[in-house]
Amino acid sequence: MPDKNADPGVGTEIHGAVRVIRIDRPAARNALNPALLDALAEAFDAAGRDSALRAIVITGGTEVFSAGADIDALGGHTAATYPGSVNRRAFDAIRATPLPVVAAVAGYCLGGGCEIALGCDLIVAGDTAIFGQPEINIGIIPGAGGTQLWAPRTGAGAQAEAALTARTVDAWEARRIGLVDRVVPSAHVIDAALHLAHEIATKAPLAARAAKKAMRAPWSAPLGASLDAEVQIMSGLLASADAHEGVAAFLEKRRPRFEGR
Amino acid sequence: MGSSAATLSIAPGTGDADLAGAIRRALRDREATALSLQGDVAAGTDDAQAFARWVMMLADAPLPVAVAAGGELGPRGLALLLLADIAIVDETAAMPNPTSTPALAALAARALGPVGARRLVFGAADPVATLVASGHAERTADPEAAMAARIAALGSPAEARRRRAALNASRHLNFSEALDFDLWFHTGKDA
Repeated sequence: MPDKNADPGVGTEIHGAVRVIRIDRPAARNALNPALLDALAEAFDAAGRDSALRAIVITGGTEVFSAGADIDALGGHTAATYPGSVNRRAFDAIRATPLPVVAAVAGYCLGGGCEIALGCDLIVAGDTAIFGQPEINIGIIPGAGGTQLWAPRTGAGAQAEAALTARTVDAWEARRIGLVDRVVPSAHVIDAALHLAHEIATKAPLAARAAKKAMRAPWSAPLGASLDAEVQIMSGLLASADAHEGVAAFLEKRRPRFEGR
Repeated sequence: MGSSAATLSIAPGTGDADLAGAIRRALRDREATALSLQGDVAAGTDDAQAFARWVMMLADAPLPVAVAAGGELGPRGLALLLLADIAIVDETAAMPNPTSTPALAALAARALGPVGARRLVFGAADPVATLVASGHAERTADPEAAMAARIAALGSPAEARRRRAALNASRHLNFSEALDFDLWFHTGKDA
């Protein structure tokens, strides 16, 4: 049953252990304004604190993911205000959530919308999806990961082309260059993302969070430090009850019963 | 819901940029079963970038593309026929010089496979006959009736678009992923 919260343009639903966070501002093609970004940040923070959740799906529905930031809102910033803005806080919150996040993307996924998707762990694209960073067309650059987060998925060339030419890529090309992980009919993009999220939700929750933490280490540290971090995270995980249960279940040829401790 | 096409009649003198714009607008019709193109097919190419734009729009169109052509075909006519899911030519259709068609190798290989593409690229004496013989195009004395019958056979707009989406997926995704893509149409509400 949908449980639309009070914040403008963001809704949430629960599907078992998966929370669906929905950008819901269709009249503005899901453009990101400060109120919506604030609500998104809160939704991600709340999901991260909910120990019953195992994964998140973020979507804009089956027509449009997000056409990007409200240009009016961007225009109000100065060099002094942007770093402390709700933009920064919202994108940080999306990337910082400890839960695995699957983006379900159909239609336009541009600018800040694309940066939201790229902040997720997996991206399921509908066949109508169009990705791009058009910021350079208005004399700015992507300011929430769009100059950094294409490259780990696509390599430096596609990153540079996106940031320097604003060329868009459709779902098929996005799959070909590794920008997205699945392409499905747009009408089914949320179902497909939920399917993937539920698959993740069946895995050991501590391990899923630990894997995400380890995979994200390179985002904040050089490779050597990231590899060290991976070792530290793995060391801690080996002591968990879930790890013992997983090993025992494997040896006993049965399904594991993970409890998240 | 019945079957009806969004029809684009290409007027003589239409340049590639105008054709690209007209195709973009026609593709916005969400109720159409197919996009049907006819009219002046004798033109060449006056803008390579615009030509590439309309070729890509038709190649990845979200609905079936139907093309009817007659008389002497120019590069545009051959390109349109090669991009068509439903290609119909009348008894006067002919093309003297197919190799002048931009992107002929890519278009022909996509539509006809490597053997048919070689025939066109290396100078088929009668390219329209090659398209007909390969089964890609249908030659008829009454293109209008043939087009109507083929479009009617596509079924509802939703069904026609599902099939076209699956076809697009089969071209762009590997076999396993294309299979998964198509199977979504056979689950839940689409089953």
